[in-house]
Amino acid sequence: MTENELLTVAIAAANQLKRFAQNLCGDVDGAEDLVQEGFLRALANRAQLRDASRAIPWLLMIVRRVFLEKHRRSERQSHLIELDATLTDPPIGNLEEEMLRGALSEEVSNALAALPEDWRSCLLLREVDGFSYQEIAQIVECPVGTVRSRLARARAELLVSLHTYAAERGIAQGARR
Amino acid sequence: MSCPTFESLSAEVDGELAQLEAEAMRSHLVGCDKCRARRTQLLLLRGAVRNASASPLASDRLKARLAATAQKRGRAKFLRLGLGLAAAAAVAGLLLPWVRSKDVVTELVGDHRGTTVTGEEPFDVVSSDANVLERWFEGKLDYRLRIPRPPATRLLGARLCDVGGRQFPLAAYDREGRRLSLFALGTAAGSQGGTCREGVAGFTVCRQAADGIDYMLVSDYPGAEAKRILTSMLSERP
Repeated sequence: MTENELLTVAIAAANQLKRFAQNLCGDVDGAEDLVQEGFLRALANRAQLRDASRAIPWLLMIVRRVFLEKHRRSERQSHLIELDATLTDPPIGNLEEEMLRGALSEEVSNALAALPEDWRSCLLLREVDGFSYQEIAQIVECPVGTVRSRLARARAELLVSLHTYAAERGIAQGARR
Repeated sequence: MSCPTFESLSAEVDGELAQLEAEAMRSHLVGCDKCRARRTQLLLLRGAVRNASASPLASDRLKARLAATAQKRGRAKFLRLGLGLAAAAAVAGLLLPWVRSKDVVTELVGDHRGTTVTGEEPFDVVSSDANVLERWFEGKLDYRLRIPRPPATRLLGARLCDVGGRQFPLAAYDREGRRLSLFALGTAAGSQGGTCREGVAGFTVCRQAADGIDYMLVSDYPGAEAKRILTSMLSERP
């Protein structure tokens, strides 16, 4: 892939790259810096990209690598959380209507932000970008089985957080467990 | 069949179960209210996550930054090659000091070739509307750019070219099937008469100042005609 072809892909995927970067670092300006730095690194290493159809996951992987290099400490912290976490089934309550109405957007955002980075990245790459487990595994550089596990844990954690919120407001009365 | 794990249900809503596992899951879901409710919950959660996640639009500034990053890298490679050649020339006693003064013009002619003629380097913004292009440049230059709208020409798009860390806007036109690039080189004192030179890396380069901006037109027209086109472009008023 030539530099111009890679540039064309990056510009076409600029929204996606920026959203991913913003979910990593949490601010708009930092996200653009991250994308630019990742793109520069991608240009320098473009010979490593064997399959042009995988250019976008590859760019996302590099953006995440750049982020992790800048945030080594928080990466170690999230690994500790993952090792300690055990997956228990979240409750099934009357969250559905609230979710459908979108009334919990802020709570969902907060719960997402509270997830470990690697759980959150897997979840957003799946739910928002629609990547397959294989592609997510490439982006976050882990086995497919780990992606499956992280997605389940992220979802369970979100449901627990939302259920807690709903219970505090009396929404989940009659919940089944 | 006992109820599947939460992880299996999570993979099921993603369509990531193996075929046999997926078939067993479908059979189980038919007869299990609890798992169906769980599945519905996961699907609703998907919608909620989509609604709640940040979906920023990449600014034109980011796209311009990406383009500039690629271009700077290209320049750096060019410069490294140039330094190698210069070192070789110095050894041979053949240093050519006049090359430096031509660098900017030569590189911008390269931008004309890559962007407007061959299309190897993409536009930052594609539009035939001069207003759209002018708005795109707002905030990116330290002066207000006016893009001429000459008759018998069609605007193709625009790009911000980076040469030596300086930004030069390029507006590309089609005229009678021939391509023109109009660059703004910066501010100038009022309006000045034009100069033209043919054979600059295979193209004709004309310069003229108007309304306080120093313009440069690159084309494959002969010098006299290119000069007339530039004068005509700059005399047009929106």
